Formats: sequence, C-alpha cells, structure tokens
Amino acid sequence: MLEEITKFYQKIVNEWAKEATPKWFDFLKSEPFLNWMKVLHIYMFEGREKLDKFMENINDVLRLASKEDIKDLVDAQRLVIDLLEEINDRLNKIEEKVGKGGK
Amino acid sequence: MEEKKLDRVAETIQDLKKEEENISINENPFIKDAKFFLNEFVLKNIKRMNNLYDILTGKYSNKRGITPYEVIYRKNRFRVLRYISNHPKRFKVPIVFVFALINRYYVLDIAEGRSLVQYLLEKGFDVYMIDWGIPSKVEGKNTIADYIEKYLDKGVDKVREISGQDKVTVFGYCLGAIMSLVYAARFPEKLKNLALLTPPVDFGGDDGVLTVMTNEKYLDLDRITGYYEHLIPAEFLQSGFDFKNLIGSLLMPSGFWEVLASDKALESFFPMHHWVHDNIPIASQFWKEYIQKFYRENAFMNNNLSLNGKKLNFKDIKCPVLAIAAAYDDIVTLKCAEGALKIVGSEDKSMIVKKAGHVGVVTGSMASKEVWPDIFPWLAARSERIVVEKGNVEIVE
Repeated sequence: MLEEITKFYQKIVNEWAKEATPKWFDFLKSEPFLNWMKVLHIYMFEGREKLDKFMENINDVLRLASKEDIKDLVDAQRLVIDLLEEINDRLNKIEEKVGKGGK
Repeated sequence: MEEKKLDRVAETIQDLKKEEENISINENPFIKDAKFFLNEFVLKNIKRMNNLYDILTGKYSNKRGITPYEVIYRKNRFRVLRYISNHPKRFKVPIVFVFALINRYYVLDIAEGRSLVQYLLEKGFDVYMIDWGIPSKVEGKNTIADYIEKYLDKGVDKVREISGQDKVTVFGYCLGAIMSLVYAARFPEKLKNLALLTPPVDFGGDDGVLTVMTNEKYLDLDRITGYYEHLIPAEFLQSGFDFKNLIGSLLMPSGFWEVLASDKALESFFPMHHWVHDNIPIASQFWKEYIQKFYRENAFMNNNLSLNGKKLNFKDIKCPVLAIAAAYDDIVTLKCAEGALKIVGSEDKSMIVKKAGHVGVVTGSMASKEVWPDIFPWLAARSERIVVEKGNVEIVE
C-alpha cells in the first residue's frame, strides 16, 4: 500500500510537470508578462542609476575612488593594451619583412 | 549427457522464478508495507545521512573537468587547452572545441563516462579546447570581431602550429557554434571540417522563450549595457534561464531527495549542478551585438554580418558541415538549429537530430550511447587516418 501511494504521488508530480512546463512557457511569452518584465527592468535600472549617483556624490565628498573613476581607469587600461597590441603587430610585420628581405 | 544437465538447470531456474512470483503475489500486505518502510524510510535515510556527510566534507567539490591538459596559448583570460592522453593518435586533423562565452567549457569533460573530450581522445583524436575565460572589465568592450580575430583566430593558429596541420576541425557548442560559424566564414581556409552542436542560427519566426524575451519591444539593450558599462553580470544573464526553468527548480528539492539516496546518481548530479551554477559575466559590447545581430536581425539567415567592415558570406563555407540538434531543446529550438545547413555553401553537409534537451544531447547518459557514436564516424571519415609504413606495408592505425 505504502509503495503504491509513493508511486502514485511520483506519477502525479511527473504528470503535473509535463503539463505545467508548456503552459509556463506560454505565460513567459505572453504580452502581460513581457510588459511586466519591461516595466520591471526600467524601474530597476532607474533605481540603481539614482542610487549610483547618490553614492557617487558621497564618494566625491569623501574623496574616494568612485564607480565612474574605476570605469575611466579600465577604459584607459584598455586603450593602452590596444595600443601595445597594435605596436606588437606592426613590429611583427616589420620583422617578417626584414626576414624576407634578408633571404 | 551435457545437454540433459543444462536442461535440468534451466528447469530448476524456471521453478525458482515461479516460486518467487507466487511468494510476491501471496505476500501479506502488512509485510510488504513493512519491507517498503524499512527500505524507503530507514535504509535510504541512513544512506542519505551518509551521503550528506560526504557532501559537507567536500567529496563532491567542483572538479571543473576530469581530463588533464596543458595550456598552449593565453591572452588575457582567454586560453587554449590541449588535452593530454595516452591513447595512440589515429587521426591527423585536430579537433578544436569552441565553447559558449556565457558558461564554462568543462561541461564537455564533466565526469567519467560523460566526457565527450575523453571519448574522442580514446578514439585517437588530438583534442583542444577554447576557454574564453572569465572576462575582466578591460575586455568588456570586446566585440564579436575582436573575439573572432584577436582571440579565436590566434588560438586556432597556435593549434595549427603545434599539431603541424594546416587545417583543423572546429567543433562549436551553442553560442560557441555561432562563433564557429562566424569564424568559418571569416577564415574558411583554416577549416577542414565544421561541427555544430545545437547551433542557434535561424531566429526568423522562432518562438523560443529566450527569443521572445529578447524582442526589442520588451528588452532595452542600450539601457542595460549603458548601466553595466563593461560586463553584464552572470546573475543578470542567469535570471532569464532561471525564469525559464522555474518548474524544474520547484521540483528540485524532491528530485534531490531521491538523488541523495544513490551514490551513482550523486556522482553525475554534482558535476552538473556545479556547472549549471558556475556562470560567468559577458562583455557588454559583445552581448549587445549578439542579441542585436542574431536574435533581432537574424544575421545568419539574411547573410548580413560584417567583421571590422569586412562583409562575410556564409556561402564561402565549403568544408564538410555537421549539425547536431536536440528535439526537446527549449534554448535552441529544432527549427532554429536547422538553419545551420541552409546558410553554408558546403556540398557535404549532414544533420543529426536526437530526442534530448540542450545539455543532455552532449553530456547526458543518452549522449554517450546515441550521440557520440554518431559523431565519431562522421569525424573519422573526414580527419585523415594516420598511416604507418612498416617496410613496404602501409598499416592504418
């Protein structure tokens, strides 16, 4: 009896999952959900942007490196890396040309 | 005489079976329940406690792949791995796996008996892996062109140099299949074969959940990339998948309770569980371009993609192409994957469709029995067998 009850429960759970998955996907693709998602991410990012600005001002007063400062640093780093790569590529090309000329 | 003995043994076995059936039919329901209770609620719970102790003491810690490798190329966080194997090499053309940029590569080498990498090594291939790595903020402005020309191409060149082969087999999985297709169109001369596992190609009219969710009507890419600036966090990317997998997540506790009672199930459950939750951020510029070009503009089907101003033509891909799709895939639908063969210019192109999900098709228990054995002959026929000459006789290894 216990075994049958456990099997029956498992069967119901599996059947439910089989039925519910496509319905859940339909819900995720429905207009109301997608609109809710849009509104959510607009408000979420607006809230975060305001909070960041607030923190930025506080960091400015405290003379600490802010998120914006870090962004600038990272961008500067990237420029330097790109420049070095370009120089490296050019040097390699020159070396190749010199090698060919030598032969 | 011998035959008579065998017949008697067979009869005895039959009699014993009948007796066993009679016992189970006539068994007292109370005894049956008691046995079930003992097994399900006592013995299994003892096993569960035992396994829980093993989990807490780190027996199932994340191994991130099982096959040893050496790093043959490195650029920032990007690496090219060469798997080490004692098996004799039987094929000249090396295989380069190109994994997705939003997950870790080691799912292709996740556990004993579930590793495609190990399977191909055993068959005699030289196997390499592209590990895009966890990008740093400095890499956040990388575009598709950057990843193809400054990273992937350099990595493939290193593989060509080390293997001594002019051409390689590029084997891409999911987003890695997109990168492989773009790479193949940009550098067709470097490819011997192209294999694509669940390639997201045709988004025209695709009604997959992720395709609908990334529609420009609902998802403001500029706002998101503007806010995150360099890297889109893993949690943000994962939230889309979590929403999609909600039903599975709801059933997770009861599933895990069952898994906890079995050593074998735990051994395959944990590596996969670690991998699913081992998400990484993605370069924001790349992510924006990826959604815009492929999901929204259907760049593959419209043959409308340029890298650094150079227009690509997917009909330039003339090498043999294999596409493998999963019929129950809810990330890359079957229709979406089928586009892969429509856009290439190859004459030798094949498609394999299996009844599996997005990850199960490559690493599930079914994969080792049905998918890998189908991939192997295709690759073997196109990867130049090594012929060893002994005296005047040629021996195919």
